Amino acid sequence: MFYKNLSFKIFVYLLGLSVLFQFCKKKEVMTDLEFRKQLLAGSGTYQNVENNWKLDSTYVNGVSVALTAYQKTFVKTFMHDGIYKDSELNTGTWELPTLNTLRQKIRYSTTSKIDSFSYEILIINTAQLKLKLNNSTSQTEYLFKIAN
Amino acid sequence: MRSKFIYTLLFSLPFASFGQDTLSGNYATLKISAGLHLVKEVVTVKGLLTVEPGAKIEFLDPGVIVCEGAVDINGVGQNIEFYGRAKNEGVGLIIKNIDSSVVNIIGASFKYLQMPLFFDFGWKRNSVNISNNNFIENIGKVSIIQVLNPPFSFVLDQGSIDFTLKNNIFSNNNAAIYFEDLKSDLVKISIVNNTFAGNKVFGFKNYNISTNILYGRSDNNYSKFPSLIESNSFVFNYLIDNNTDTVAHAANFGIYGSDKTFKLTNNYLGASSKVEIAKTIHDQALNYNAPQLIVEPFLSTPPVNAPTHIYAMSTLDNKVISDSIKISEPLSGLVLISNNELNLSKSIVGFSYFVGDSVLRKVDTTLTYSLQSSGKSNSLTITKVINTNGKAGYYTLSGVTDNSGRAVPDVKVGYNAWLNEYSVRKLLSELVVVNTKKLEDSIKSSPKSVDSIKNTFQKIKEPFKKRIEVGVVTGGAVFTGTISSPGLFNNQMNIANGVHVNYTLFSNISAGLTIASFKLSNSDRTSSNNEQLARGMSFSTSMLSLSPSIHYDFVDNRFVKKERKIRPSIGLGLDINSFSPTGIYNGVKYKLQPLGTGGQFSDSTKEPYSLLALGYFLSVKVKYQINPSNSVGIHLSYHKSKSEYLDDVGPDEYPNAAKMLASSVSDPVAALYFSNPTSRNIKGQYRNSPNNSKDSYIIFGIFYARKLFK
Repeated sequence: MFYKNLSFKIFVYLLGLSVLFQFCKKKEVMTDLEFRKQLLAGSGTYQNVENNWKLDSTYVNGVSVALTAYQKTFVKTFMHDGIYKDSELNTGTWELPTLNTLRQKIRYSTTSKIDSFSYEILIINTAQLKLKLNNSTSQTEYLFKIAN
Repeated sequence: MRSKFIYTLLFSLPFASFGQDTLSGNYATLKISAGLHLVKEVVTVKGLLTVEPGAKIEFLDPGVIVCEGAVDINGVGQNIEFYGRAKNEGVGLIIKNIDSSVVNIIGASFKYLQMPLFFDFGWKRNSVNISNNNFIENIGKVSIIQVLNPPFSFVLDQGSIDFTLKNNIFSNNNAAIYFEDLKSDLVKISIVNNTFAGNKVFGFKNYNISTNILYGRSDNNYSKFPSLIESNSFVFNYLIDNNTDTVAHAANFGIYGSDKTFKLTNNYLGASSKVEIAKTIHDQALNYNAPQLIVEPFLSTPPVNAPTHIYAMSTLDNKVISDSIKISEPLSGLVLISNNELNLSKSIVGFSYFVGDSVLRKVDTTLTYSLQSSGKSNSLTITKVINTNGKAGYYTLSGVTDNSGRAVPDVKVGYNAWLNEYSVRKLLSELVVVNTKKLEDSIKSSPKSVDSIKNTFQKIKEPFKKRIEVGVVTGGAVFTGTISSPGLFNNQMNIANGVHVNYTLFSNISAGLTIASFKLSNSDRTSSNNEQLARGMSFSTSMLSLSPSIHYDFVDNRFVKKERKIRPSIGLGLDINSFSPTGIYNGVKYKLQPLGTGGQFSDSTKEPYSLLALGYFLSVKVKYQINPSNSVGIHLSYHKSKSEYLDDVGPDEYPNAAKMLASSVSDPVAALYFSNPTSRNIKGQYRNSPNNSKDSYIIFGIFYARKLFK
């Protein structure tokens, strides 16, 4: 119980100001999809506009395939603005329509042919990216490791 | 011609009869006979100084009589008077030089002097007898009697000095009696049958050895003759604080030195219990280097052989009047208890009280009363009615004598509490610059103290509970540590709430304790620093802090005045913080410390950080005092934590990704993300600079505070 009405009024003012402070807070809201995009291609901020993913291993129908030394130097680069490039100088675009789907359009540097792929994302985190490519005859999985 | 001679003779007779003798210069011997004498400079008597009964010697500053030989002052019924002139008080008598004579000071009265008796260093006589004297209302604040040591070359074969202080009254003086050595090989001190009543020893509020009416040293070497201090009565002696002129402590006896114990037995020390007596003496209990005073057995009433004095008072219905009683409503009467019978035939009962609320205006009235005597108990029934309107006042009883006609010390009832009220009013009158009000003051302000020590922090007289103020605090918290932008307003702000307790220690110092709950969060993404943008970390932590603090208040916090409603203060304090940083990965909130994002669980040389952190802070407050109980204000504080991990980002190298994924934490993938959210090339880099890595934050906002007790 407050001593005087004056004190009660002050209490109400303080409560109001307190609520105001709460609304002043800067809030950062990020969707799961946006977060996954950042894992794949960086946040778009300074020195974080792209992520480079180096091929580490490949599996065909669940069986490990030995990679050549050259294949092990293959690097995919996903830029935050949706541009794709790789170490074989192919270029293209990428997008994440859903959380577990990576679509790419690639224009091959040697033939200028444009092709499209839809990968299933099996693993993505700050160090690993595992993609699965499904076609009619086989299931191929590619494991990439971060190589910034 | 003959008639002219007769007229001249008759005209000059009165001057001859009533004229005064001015003493000056050096005398081989000096006899001061009955009549008035004036001392207004240094008068030195090389040989015998004789003062005869009926002599009245007035001292004007810097008047002093220096006695280098024998002293023979022998009055009858204190009819030898040494006194200072009002507002120009002289010094007194100085005993110095080595002489094989005696000093007898008997039956004299010393009043209004700076230092009535001073035995200067290196003095020596065969004996000293100071008996049956009255030392009353001496104004000096150094000593009433000061006895320094005889010369060290004075050896035992020359005998010792018998120093007797007996049957004297020390009353209403402003200073102490000081013996350089109360126990020595040279002086046999005997202090018996004296009355020390109603003396004020001036000092600061800290009670110490020298702020007692009688004090001295007692060493365990050169200690052939311990003092005999017996059958004395000590009543109503107090230490008065120079700054506020208020009573700071009871002040009867102080002892220091290397001796283990000192006897002070068979005296009346103003109380009849050892606990109460202990409050009036300064010995080993307060200073472990000092001797212990042995006060038992003590007298439960003053000895009859001590000069007559009043030692206790009660109301007519036999309620004891304590020395701290505040008299807001006049009493119907007083019962005076004394050690001998009193003669109240010429006594005057006065009552003084304040008029108005905030000015130094006092009314002094003389009361009429009827008397009922019963031996050592006298009942005064006051027959004059006074209306004080509830303002503080005090009674003064003066003009009392014993049956031999010797003066009895004046007593005051309610004076200590009145002094407190006076102090407050004086301070208020100084704060209020209203000339018209000053004209109403009837009490002249005492001159400013010349003490070199400026005591800024004055004692608070309010009781404990009135000094407590509680409040609620609300506002924002902004993290300014590792994950933060150089621009303060680019950082996230979270709400901060708390409760606060404040305790007023001194006039300008208060201590506080705050319990606050708030959140800190921030993200590198909002930083204006590119390096932080590239790092891309973020965090959020709930904080619970316990923060003791101390504040310097720029405005005296004892008073509430319109002119002083805005009250700024600065402070510093300690923080004890409980925290637990969290982060979101894939939409899930993780506690970061258990993940070991700095490699704490993937590197065997590291350990997880503590979730309890110490810190310190500086604060600024501006309070607006609405009324004596309520206040609102704004506050800002900068907190520096001793932890580097409030935001989970310490000065660790980025951990190896493979090791992180292989670590035993609950979610290695999340741990890896939080350790390096932007997957930057981190070889050899630190997550945070090892220099100046301690975290900090700012809390600001508003508060409401209230004193719970009026």
